[in-house]
Amino acid sequence: MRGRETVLQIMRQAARAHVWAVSMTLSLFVAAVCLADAPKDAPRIVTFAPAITQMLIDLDMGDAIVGVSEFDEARDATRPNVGSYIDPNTERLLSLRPTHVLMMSTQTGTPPRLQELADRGLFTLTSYPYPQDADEVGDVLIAVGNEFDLRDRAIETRGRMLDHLARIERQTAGSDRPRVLIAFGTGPVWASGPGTVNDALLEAINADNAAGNAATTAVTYDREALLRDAPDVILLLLPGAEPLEPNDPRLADFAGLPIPAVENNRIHLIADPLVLLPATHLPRIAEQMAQAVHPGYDSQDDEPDQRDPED
Amino acid sequence: MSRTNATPKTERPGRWIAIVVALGVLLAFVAVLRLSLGATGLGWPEQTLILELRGTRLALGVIVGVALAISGVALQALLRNPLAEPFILGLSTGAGAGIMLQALVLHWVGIVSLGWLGFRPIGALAGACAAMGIVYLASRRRGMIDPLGLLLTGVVLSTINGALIMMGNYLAGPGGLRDDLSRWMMGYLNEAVSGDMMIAVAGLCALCFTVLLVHAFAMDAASVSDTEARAMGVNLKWLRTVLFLTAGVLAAGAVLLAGPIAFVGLVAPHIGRLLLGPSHGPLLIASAMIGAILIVAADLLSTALDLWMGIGLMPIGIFTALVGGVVFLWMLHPQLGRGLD
Repeated sequence: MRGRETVLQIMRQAARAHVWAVSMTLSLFVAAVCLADAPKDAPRIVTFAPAITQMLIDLDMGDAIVGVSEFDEARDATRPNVGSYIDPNTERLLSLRPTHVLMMSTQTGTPPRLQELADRGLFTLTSYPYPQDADEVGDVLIAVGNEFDLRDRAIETRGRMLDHLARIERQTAGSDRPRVLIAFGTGPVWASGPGTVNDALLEAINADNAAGNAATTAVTYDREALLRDAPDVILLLLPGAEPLEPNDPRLADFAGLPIPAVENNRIHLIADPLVLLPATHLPRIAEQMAQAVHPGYDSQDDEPDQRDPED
Repeated sequence: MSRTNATPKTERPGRWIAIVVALGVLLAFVAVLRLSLGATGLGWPEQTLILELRGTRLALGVIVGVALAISGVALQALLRNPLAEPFILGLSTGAGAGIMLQALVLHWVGIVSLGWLGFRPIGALAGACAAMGIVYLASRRRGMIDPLGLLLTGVVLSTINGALIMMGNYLAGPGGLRDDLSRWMMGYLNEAVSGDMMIAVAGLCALCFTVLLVHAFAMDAASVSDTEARAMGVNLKWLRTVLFLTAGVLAAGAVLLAGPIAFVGLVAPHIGRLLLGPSHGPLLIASAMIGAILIVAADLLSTALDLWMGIGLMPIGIFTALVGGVVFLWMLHPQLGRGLD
């Protein structure tokens, strides 16, 4: 009897252990499945690059953005501010439980603080190269799409963006090729040099960059240099700026200069809030540039391929 | 006690006249070079307009250089401190804070966006004058300016102004105001300034220069001690007020035309003393010329680098700080370690 009871006891214990083991295995399996699925099903994205924010919005991923960097021009104003990539607000960042933190690479590389948090497995940190033209914007867009299994949508968006730029290029191809100075600051004038997105956009709209021979990407001009380069058109890229007025102080650097842009009153302001961002809205900026540079230009924006960030 | 029989440099009129003439020739040489070099190339300009543009920059450089240099002379005499320079009064940071606050206030009351930096001279002038007023009021003791109090108040005010600029930078966000102010703080000759303002600053410069020349003997006497200065009949209260006001007005004028430019107000009087000795009459004349030479030469260098390398116009504030700093260290080297004796 005693031996039988002992055997039964052992069997009961084994059964309990078995149930425990099975339940543990099941729990681990369920947890693993949940954990594995969590980032895929509901990514929580923090962006430290306004251009990436805009790309996510264009990929219909705007709702997945749970935090943005300070002064993100493309952001929804209600999104929490996580500081800058140089000085991230790590406590707020972690409180947002991001699955992905996205940024654009800089000369200083990935910030050590963010890298350290990513190395602890708290989120996936991805750094994309800073694009220099529309093709590179498209490459970053595809990379972002790959990250979130949206490759097809990214390819489609890139295609629309490049097609739109190609239409603008075709439309402007037959027109005269004016010399255009793109100024993004005045007092003194600061202009876009070669190797910049703006330089590439000028090429796309069939215009020459008046600062295209400079050895640097941001060129400071004095009045004699303006006279030397004699741009036919000057585009002032000032995000969110007020419209130009007669005797506007922002035009003081150009006042009275006998250059075509001044004599023909062809200084135009482009105040689009995203005008300085290398993102998927480039055709919209190119449209505005083409309208300013080529009088009589017909808009190629027949299909609304960009969402307004305010939407 | 040892006495030297050597005649002080400035007591030999022939010597200082020769040096002033030499400086005049050097200034003329640099000016001709500046007029011969510009973005359109090397050579005397054939177009009147180009000559006019280069002439404007030359005039701006001369006015700014003279203003900074004689402001430095006045301050060093006032504080009896050879390390004093115009911006120690917090005027440049005051002007920067003025620009920033002006833009933020105009934005908050809904007049302009933050990308708009109009009326900049008004903000700069208001900021510089406010800084000067605060320093003046805070450093007065029994109706007279206390040099030590002036120095300390200027340093503290610079820090406060720096904090205001940083706050404005933070609130303004990237681009627009922040970028424009950052570049303004580097020190550029501002060609967009109106001709009237240039003439006004030049006129103030001439007035202050004359006032300081008139007080040159009093400045010499005041450079020893208060007791000796009073014994020589110098009204210290009046003199310090005159020195403070002229230094402040000159520095504010320079800031209006070129933003904050470092070291010229410090180095020009030192080079002047090296050449001519401490007597303030000749020193004022020589320093004014040296200041003008330094700024015009810095602008020349910036233009030459642009022509040679195509890098655009670098801010002249970079060159004055680099060259002025190195020259100052070289001049300071023999004095270092004397505090241990």
